[in-house]
Amino acid sequence: MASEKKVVFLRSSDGEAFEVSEEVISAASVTIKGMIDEESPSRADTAATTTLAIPNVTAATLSRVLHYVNKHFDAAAVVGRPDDYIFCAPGDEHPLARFDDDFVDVDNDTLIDLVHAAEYLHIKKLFDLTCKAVADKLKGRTIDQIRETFGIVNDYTVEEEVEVYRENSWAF
Amino acid sequence: MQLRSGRRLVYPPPEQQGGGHRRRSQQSLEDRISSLPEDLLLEILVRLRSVAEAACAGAVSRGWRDLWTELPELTFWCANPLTVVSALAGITRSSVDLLDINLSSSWMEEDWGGDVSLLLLCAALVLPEKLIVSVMIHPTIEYAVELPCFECTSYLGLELMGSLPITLPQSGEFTALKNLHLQSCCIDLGALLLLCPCLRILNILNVSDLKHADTVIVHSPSLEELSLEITTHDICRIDIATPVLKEIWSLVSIKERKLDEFHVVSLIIMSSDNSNGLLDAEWSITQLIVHLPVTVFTVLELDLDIEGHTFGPMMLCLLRTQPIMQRLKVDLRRDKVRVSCPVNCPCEHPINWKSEDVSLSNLEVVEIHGLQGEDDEVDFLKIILRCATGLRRLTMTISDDISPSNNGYDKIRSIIKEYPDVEFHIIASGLRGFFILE
Repeated sequence: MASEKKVVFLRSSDGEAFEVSEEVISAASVTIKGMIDEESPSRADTAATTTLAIPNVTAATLSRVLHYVNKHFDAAAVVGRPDDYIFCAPGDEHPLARFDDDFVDVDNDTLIDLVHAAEYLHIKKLFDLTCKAVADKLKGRTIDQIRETFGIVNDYTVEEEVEVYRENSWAF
Repeated sequence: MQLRSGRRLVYPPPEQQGGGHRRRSQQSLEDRISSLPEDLLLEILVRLRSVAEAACAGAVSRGWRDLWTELPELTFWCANPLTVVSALAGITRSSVDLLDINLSSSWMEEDWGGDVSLLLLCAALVLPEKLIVSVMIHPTIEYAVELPCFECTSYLGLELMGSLPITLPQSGEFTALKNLHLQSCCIDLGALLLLCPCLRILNILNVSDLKHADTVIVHSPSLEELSLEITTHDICRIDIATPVLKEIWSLVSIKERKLDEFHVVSLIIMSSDNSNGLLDAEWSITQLIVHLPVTVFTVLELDLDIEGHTFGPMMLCLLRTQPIMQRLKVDLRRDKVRVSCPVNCPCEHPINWKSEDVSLSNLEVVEIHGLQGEDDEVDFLKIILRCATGLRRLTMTISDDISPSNNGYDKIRSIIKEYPDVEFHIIASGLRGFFILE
């Protein structure tokens, strides 16, 4: 069989197709690897390129996800071992630490779209990164700041709110 | 604090009395975060790495209220153990993956004796898979901390500042425990290890034994990894018996002292012979060396009780850790009637040790006492003379019941002749006292 770099196309929920190396995306996404493995028998002797539908992810999000995936999982592009940085102390500068910081420096909606996409595509590192980024937006904020940041409507009655504060008084 | 919604953030909440009336936020943003499925929200809250912050976040709206009680990983950073106790009472999960409790305070908490016992008891009730308790508050009174039985816990880390005595559970075993880390604890280590049938990794840092203050006894049939570091007090005896670790040498004592410009380390090492199980034992003096409390020194004094074992390979391991060493003194203790060790005994590994090199370019003075003219002694001397290129003086004491006609003695004499630049002293020792032969 051809030893050339195989590619697959991913079609976003809004119909846009993105090309990505099969090897890279398989290493990154458990979900897509599963899809490719399922397709394999039928495409074994055809030269046709596979297009996979990703119904839950929009083009805007998918393009960001693939940017991340190509940075983190393309062995040719990665400096050092791709997983090294997980074990680095916070102060250690990993080549991709800066990229990661910039990657999640986005508005809340984009970030939450990325959380959904990382979960659906089962890309653990991206899921960790985006969930942590949302947590960082909660951390150290007052209740009202959190509501304001995320547009959360306070649906507690006054009595309920008093009760919540009383119940969790140890935490405040 | 005046906020955009016009309300003040105070506790208790503002004075409006209006019963069930709901306040409307003027936010125009769509609330994407609250519409996340509960498991995703939990994934986010877990990454706050603070139960208190997650519980606080429960006050933002109804959907968030009790989420924190479902957290699979609970991390506490606080000053008062009662805070943790209150929080743990609210946990609804049947077990948690991680319970990490960090108590620290910049001021002295009044009268909290007993609370650490209560804290540990409450910790046991949430059945943590991994439990880390770190109490960085000096106790104001001395009391015994009761350790409950953590039957489902596979990782236990315990650090209690002030070295309060820890009492073991009356019943039950730590049946799932594989990984135990003890720091600044005062505990009956021997009795604790008996309760840990599956323990694989043991990490001890400044632990004192309740029963024997100056002894560390580690007996565990299942232990595979051991790390031991005591810097707070002197240890006279370290007794390690773990068939899986398969030590054949055990470190009996470590002493260090400064002598002029030299940093002297004295070790007493003996063979922890038990004839069965030795055949397939693995060489592991290196594991002991890695955990020596002192890493760099210039003088090494060794007292080796080696029975019938070959000591050369172990010595090479030791010497390799100290390339800057300047002086070496070795006291060999061997029974006069030598029982030879089993075929393929690990003491002889690596098999080719006699031809191995070790960097000893700083070594200037060597003393070896208790030589009996055995082959492995001769081989060791050869290595020292070959590798210690800067050697100035070598002093040897030869057991006095080795006659000058002995084969080994002859061998030693013949090696000496090859190194005319080294000053040799050979002393015959015995009841008659020392006298210099050459």
